[in-house]
Amino acid sequence: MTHETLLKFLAPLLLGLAVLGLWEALCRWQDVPVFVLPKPSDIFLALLENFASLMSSLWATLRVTLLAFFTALVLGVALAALFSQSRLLELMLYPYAVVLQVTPVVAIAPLILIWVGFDRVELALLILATIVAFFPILSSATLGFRSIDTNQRDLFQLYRAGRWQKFRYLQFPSALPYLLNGMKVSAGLALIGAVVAEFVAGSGAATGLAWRIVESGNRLQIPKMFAALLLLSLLGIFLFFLLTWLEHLILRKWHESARNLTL
Amino acid sequence: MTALLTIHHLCKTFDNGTAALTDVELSVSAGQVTTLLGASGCGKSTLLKIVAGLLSKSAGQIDWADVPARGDIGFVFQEPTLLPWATVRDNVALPFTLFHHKSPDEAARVQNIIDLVGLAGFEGAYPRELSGGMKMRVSLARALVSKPKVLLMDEPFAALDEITRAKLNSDLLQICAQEKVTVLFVTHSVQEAVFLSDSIFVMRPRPGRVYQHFSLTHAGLRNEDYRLSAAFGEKVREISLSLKASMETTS
Repeated sequence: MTHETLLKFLAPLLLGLAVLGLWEALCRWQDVPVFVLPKPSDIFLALLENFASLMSSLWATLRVTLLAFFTALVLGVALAALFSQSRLLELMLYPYAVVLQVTPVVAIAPLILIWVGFDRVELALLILATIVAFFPILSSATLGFRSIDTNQRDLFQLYRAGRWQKFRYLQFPSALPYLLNGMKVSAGLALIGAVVAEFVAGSGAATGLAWRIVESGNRLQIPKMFAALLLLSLLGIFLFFLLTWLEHLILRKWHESARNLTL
Repeated sequence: MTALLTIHHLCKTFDNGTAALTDVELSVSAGQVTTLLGASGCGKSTLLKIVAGLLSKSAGQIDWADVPARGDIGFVFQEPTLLPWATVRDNVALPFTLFHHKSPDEAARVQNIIDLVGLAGFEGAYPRELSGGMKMRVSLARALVSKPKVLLMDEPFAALDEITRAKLNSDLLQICAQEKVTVLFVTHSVQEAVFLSDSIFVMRPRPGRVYQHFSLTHAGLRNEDYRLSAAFGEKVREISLSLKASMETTS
């Protein structure tokens, strides 16, 4: 591990520890009530005491997030691939994709819940999280499939490559840097979508981390609420790093963006 | 010398009304290096792309001795135009990949052409690991791998330094002689044109057309000594004057 890499990990870690120490000291010194701002040690204890239920909720949120992300990935790439083959189809459908993007998920969540039914709330959460995660994939893949170098396009025309060959050997690899970037945004949004949808579903039907936050808030179990928030943040960070690593793995040999990728 | 392709009264006007070429008449002899020489904007690259079938012509005719099949035309662009995600070997093999050829013969041909352009040992390298000159060698290898009848080269060495350019010029002559390929070369460098060509068409701009044709004979080897010879200097001078006159005629 080089000095630079070590610094990359140590610098934020040390800052985080310093902030936690300051937080703990201030809460103790000012005797801040636990229902206003719990100490980091209270949050850690709450995490240990409620470990099983929080882990089960973490898994529920992670499952919805991952399913939504992969559904958005498949649908987004497939639709972008169709757009790359037919300008007419793109002109027809893209505005509706934008409408889906700009409509707040909170506004359509009750409708989706009614349509799907409260007995199948996980499916509703999946649909809502997919809607939120879908657009970054679609827009980045559409841009990527379109961003082909003119000479490379001419080269494939010279060798009379078919549509599928152009897509497989030229458009798809060209789009990878765009797509991988879109995937990073999409994974974060899938998590946000899952959490927002859980908030809206509420009433104990959902079992994810968002529901734990609502439940803890209602019961004034603020340390547990912070523990659930901490897990949500860690989940988001984990997804981001996972996709950054994947990006590095795929692009490191040939794309400039992966040369000095911050991991 | 048999003409591989002959161009008659070729015109090209773009959709925005710009006349790029008018009444172009020229022929490319089999086994020779024919060069289109002219200043920027005289339609050299447009003409090359029309010959390659990458652009449509507005009028005129291109007569081929044999209608080219897939792979009969090789093209080297101004930029190396390599696939950055593919290794040298995969870039060179691209025409075969697109033709669905995956036989041992093709693999041997790919290796053979990589060796010929002097890139043995770099088969597994990615384009970003190569210098500008090496990238252009990969581009040349890819254009030659399908054994084309004609190799079209659009100012391929323009972005390279003088030393690399001179080396690639010499290597190109050897490779073309070995591969027995006809070359239609585009450049704005008079020295490069004189060194490489058996035939030079000086073009004048707005709209592009042939101004003057030169047939060249080269006594002895074309090497670095030849570049310094009086005969070479005299040819460069003669063609430079023609190029200058073509520009003055336009203005």
